[in-house]
Amino acid sequence: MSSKDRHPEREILEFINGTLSGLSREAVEVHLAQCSKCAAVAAVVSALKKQARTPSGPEGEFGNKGPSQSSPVAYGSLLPSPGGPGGVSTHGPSPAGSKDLEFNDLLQEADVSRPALNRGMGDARPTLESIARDSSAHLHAADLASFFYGELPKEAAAAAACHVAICADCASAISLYADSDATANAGDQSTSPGSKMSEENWRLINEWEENCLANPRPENEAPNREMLERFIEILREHKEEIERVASGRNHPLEIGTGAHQIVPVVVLDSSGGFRGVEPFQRISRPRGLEALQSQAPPNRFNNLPIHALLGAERKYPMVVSGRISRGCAELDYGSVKTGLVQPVGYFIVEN
Amino acid sequence: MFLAATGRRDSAAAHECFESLISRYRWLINHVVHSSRWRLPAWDSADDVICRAVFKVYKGLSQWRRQGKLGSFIARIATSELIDTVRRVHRDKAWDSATAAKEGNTDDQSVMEETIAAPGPSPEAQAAMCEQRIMLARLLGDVCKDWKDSIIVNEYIISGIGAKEIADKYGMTEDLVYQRARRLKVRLLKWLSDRGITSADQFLTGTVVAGRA
Repeated sequence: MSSKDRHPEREILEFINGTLSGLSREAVEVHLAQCSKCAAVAAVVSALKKQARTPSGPEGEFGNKGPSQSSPVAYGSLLPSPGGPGGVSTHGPSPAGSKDLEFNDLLQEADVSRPALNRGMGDARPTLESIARDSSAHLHAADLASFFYGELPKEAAAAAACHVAICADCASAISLYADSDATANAGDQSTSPGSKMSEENWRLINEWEENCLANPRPENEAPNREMLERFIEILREHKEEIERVASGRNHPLEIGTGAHQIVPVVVLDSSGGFRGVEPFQRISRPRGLEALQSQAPPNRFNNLPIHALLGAERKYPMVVSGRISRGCAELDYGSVKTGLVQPVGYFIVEN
Repeated sequence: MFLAATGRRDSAAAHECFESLISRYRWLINHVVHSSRWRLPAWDSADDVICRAVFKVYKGLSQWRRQGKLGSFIARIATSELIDTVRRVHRDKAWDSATAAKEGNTDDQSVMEETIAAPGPSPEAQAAMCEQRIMLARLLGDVCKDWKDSIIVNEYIISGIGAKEIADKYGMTEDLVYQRARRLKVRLLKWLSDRGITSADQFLTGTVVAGRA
């Protein structure tokens, strides 16, 4: 290897990695001095090594050991949140959002890992420029899967290829897809004993199916996460006023109605601002059904949705919605588990 | 059958079909999750991931386009769920430690002063670095044709990991690793040559415009 007769490919890599010593090292140095092609390759590889991101911690997300960095682990898609119901990215890089994930899991995250979803990508796919500008965010699991299975459009595939080439964590994630795909293709063990689905899994599925959240509502009627949070805040902030309305002190009751039948309903504006508390009367409550009669003029809330919040302390709070018609609202709790039918509050969003 | 049952809203039939399906593929979900169980924080986390994966399979079945094996589809969902979980765990850990470090640090002023005083790269150097990053991104996007190429660049070329180890980790043959590495080099040289980069100096000093095709 004294001249250009053979290009020392592996040796150049070892030379750049600093694992070459002695005569071999000198030989590579001499070769690089003589061969402009190998020198260019070495320059590119050195630049790539410099550019390569190491796992963001003493141990990377997928177990790669590397130099630690003081910054928090970057996590999230390079894709901006598309905003549509099917394409919501719940994995923003904001650490503060980490607590929201649990709530959003059942609502939205099912879409995240699903292959072949219509995620409304459009031009929201990662681009080479975005990768070059900000390599601190990992590719989303769904994007990694699409890249692995060769489903990304050309430009997004190039961006993903660029990222995976320099990101140890995402490369390791790819190894998981490679392993699982190989396993799936390797064999069918359907006859293996004890493969019946566990009760726990069925419980999870049943719980979801019986959950009222499983029934899609029109988007404009479904209270979003921010609205629910605002409502829970208002329940705390205006506790006294709500209790006063519930006790009926400000609102003279009709003969024959008891104070316990007054239901305070919080009225919010479309931006979540507090407008007031309106007394509704619980006129009947057969099993699983609740009817509330507004004491306001019949047209005030006509045709507006009314929401009851259940189990606010649970990881997955539930909302049962109904519609007010001629001052009367009906809420159907038929799909809710028995132990949960005790609304912590009711609210209306008034435009 | 599952899809048909779901389509006609026959939940009992859909459940029955799904149970059969899970009976058939549960081993696969178990394998995917349990093979990486050491990455999860607690002994029971794997079961949680399995439950969530099963749930997502149930929700995602209607999206299956029958373009590949159902097993691959299910493995993909389970793997994505596993990756999401592992990332979430690491992110939460990092966030906790970052918060703890911030709370424990009572000398913010001096840290800020040190940061301001620390010499950073000049604007020209930053521009050159940015230019080089863009050029490298284009180079990688052009020379890496699929995930295997990206892996070879990452593991073999940048990290210096042996071909056998890479082959084992990603289910390739050792020969394929060498073959891909050689092809990558050829493509890299062509890419450089197409842009008039014939020496290391040209590349390192960024004298060639990155976007020149």
